[in-house]
Amino acid sequence: MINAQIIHYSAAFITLTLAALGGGIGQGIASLATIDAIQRQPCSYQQNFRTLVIGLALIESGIIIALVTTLMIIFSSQPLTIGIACGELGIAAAIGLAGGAVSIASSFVVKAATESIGRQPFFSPKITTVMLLAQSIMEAPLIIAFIVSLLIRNRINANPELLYGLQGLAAGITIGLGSVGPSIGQAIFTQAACKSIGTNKNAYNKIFPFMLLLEAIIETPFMFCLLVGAMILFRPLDGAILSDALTLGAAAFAISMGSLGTATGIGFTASKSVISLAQNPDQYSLLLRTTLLVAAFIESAIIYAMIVAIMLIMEV
Amino acid sequence: MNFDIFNYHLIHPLEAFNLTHPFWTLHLDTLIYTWAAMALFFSLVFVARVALKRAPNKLTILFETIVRFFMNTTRDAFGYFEFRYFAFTASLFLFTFFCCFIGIFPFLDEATKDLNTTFALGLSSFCFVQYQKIRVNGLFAYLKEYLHPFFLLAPINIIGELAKIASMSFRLFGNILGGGVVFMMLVDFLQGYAYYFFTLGIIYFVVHTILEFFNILPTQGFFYILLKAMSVIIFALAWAQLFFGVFESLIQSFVIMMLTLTYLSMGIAHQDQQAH
Repeated sequence: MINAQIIHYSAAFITLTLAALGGGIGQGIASLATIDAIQRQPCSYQQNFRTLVIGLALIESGIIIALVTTLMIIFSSQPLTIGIACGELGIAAAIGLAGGAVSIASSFVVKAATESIGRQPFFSPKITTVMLLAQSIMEAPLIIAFIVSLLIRNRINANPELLYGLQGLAAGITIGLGSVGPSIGQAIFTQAACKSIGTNKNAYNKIFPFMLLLEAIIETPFMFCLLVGAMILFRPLDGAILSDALTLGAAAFAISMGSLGTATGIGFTASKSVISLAQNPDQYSLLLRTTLLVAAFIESAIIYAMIVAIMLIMEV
Repeated sequence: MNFDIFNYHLIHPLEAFNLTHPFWTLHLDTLIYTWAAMALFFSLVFVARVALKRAPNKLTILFETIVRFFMNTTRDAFGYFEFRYFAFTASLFLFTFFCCFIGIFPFLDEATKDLNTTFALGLSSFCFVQYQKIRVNGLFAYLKEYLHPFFLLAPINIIGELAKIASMSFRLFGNILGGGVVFMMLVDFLQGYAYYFFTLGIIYFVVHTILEFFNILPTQGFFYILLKAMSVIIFALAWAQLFFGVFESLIQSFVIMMLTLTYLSMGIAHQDQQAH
């Protein structure tokens, strides 16, 4: 028998468990890679250790946000109804999935950065800057998920009915599931970027703008997810019936599943081209044009998904 | 939070002729934002004109760098410089950029938040590419390209060509509106606390200026950490504004320009290979 209590407590534990799983795996990957790099090049110990500590602190932020959210769910002063419990499940999906995915993804950057520092210890300030920038751009889905979960909370506290709770659940799934694909794509791409700075440090001036541009393009599917998520969350439900919540759920799945493959595909393409850029920095404009064109073709899939999702939301 | 993206102030200029279909409707907000963007752009052009008549200084170097960037991009894409491609792509970039950039000013919003604007941009880019293909390749070769692998694939080729308009316009629309949603959420989230952040910013500015003036900025201890924490919070807010206002619009207008250039160079390079 499913009641509000069960959903409420599962929401509380799902949030922290998923984020802690991702954070633990991520910190393990980062530390292991650093120890490897130090073993290969012992005199890079100081630089590597400093980079690792900064990287671990940023990976940790996912778990801290999940902890805050869990406490917010448990110590809520509102009387519990089934609608509020469903909305809390949406918050759990948003923060848990985003936190886990972002933590694992940002560990791969630390891994590649420490490997590069092991190869080029005197270039470590620039590599650390690139790593920090990549990690902070990667962390954007998590912070946005936190803001969205606060908005879900406000909305369900104002309207504690089942329909509004399901609406919050759909919005949470959009943000949470939608941030998984961009995180994977970012992980693949920024790892390759950090590695290629280690391969050819003279190409830094070419790789840095390339990385910024492509990171913004990989983040695009998440922006579409956010747009659809906000449209789902703030859709007026005057005179809506329960089956309309299913339509919102369908829109959520359309956009978030669309973002999964798209962002991963762009990440793979961009990683190959940044490796080629390190080997041949003179071909910057050719590589940039080709990568942008391919990214545009891949991105049309998520754009069609967005059109479908917006049409579904307008149906309600 | 008031969130309804399809809510515009509408006017019907041709109502007297009984034309009230949505096609004949104007979005007043978008119109005003576009005019504001164009006013900003033309005032900058005027500044550039005045500056370029004088002896070279930092301002003229800035404007020359911008123009040279567009010229180099065109040259890289085609292998040679041609003025008509440069003119079209540079104006596409500048119009898109100013339409997005206008959103960071108070009381104004991005004109590219409206699907009609982005659709017009996508459509004009598409039409330019098709026209140049016909001009360079000739009408017969242009039509023949649609039957490329074999004639049964013609409908798919045509749909693929038309899908470029949709993908280009929806990409710009989604990105700019998404950035707007993030910033709206941030402001909504801080609404109760915005006053404190504002006060914090002023206190930080005053304290930092005084300490710097007397050259006694702390380098360690509690006070140093406090100053750092304040600066980080203020920096994060400013960074969000900067990212969604300037960086995102730069990237999106760059993507639109590069895509137009690439579609163009693909259609025309094909001709070069056939000629040899």
